[in-house]
Amino acid sequence: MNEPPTEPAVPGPTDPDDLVEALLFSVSHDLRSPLLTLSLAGELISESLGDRLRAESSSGLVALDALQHGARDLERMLQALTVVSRARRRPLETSRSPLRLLLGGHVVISEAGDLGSRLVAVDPLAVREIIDAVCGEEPAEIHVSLSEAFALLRLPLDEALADVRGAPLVALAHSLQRHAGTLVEALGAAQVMLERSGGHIAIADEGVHVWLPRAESRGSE
Amino acid sequence: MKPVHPAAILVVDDDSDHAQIARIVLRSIAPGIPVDVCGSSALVLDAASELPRDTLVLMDRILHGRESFGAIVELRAARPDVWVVLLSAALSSVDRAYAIACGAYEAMEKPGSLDGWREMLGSVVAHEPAATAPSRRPTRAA
Repeated sequence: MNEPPTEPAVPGPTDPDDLVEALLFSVSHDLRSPLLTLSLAGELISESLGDRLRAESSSGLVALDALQHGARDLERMLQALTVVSRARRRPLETSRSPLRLLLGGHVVISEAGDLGSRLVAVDPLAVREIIDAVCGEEPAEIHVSLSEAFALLRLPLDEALADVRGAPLVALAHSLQRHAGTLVEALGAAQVMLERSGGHIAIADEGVHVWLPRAESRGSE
Repeated sequence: MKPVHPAAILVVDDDSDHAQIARIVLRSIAPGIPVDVCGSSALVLDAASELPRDTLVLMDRILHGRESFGAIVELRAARPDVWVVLLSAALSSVDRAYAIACGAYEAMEKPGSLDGWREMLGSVVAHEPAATAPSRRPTRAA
């Protein structure tokens, strides 16, 4: 006599974060592969037939330029997704870091006196990269204040962010076409890394706000 | 990374277009070195013993949907004299470190331009004739 068929086990819920990560990787890797083929094939055609096409002023040259332009644009947008994917997978070495370590080389302005010894729980290298992305290599004025849970940095507003407000990752997600390859892309990746550490970032009229989780309670002040 | 002096080059890529592009670029930068193409790591592992000594294997990171890191470990165990360089359409610093830990000589992201490919492969394959260069084994330089 046949055994009754057993019911298949109900699968557990799929972790949305894992799914997003897998999708980001698939998009950034799997789609880039055929895109590379298009870009490189276009270049090979240009190298081997470009002179002939230019001499004939043919529509083939227009088509070739269009192919290469489209491939470059797609590459730029895929790169933005790759940057975000890497920010999600990048190992973070969180440590109790004094603000002095993070803000060295910049002009620190605070109404609460010297906050250089205050500790935040972040990956100092990742935070320095964020500050460098916004401020560049020249010393910049950075306003610092403390709340119960965070050290709040206010970085100067770059002209490139003039018409972007709020969370940079939201802006990037709404328009890859507009923001891929710009400072918004870098700040989108910064948002991913900061939120993994319990911090936040937002673009406001006054500047770029960066919330770093404090590694000390007010009771210890 | 020091460029290597391979006796032969094997491009392992399931995307035949990428493999052919790599072959075209390799022919232009290292015209004296024979270049062969293979579409799967299983075929390479099956024929590992037949690879010429000091072969450079350019292996795609994902072959037929599977990561190639395990194949690198197997190939290097079977043929420690070959250099394996992992190529990928998307490669993070973490991926690169893992590939090297698996035995890859180097791991690199596939560039988006022909000049990028020439520069990348030119940094892997030495341009000067092997006869005048010192012998180098496939151990990674620091």
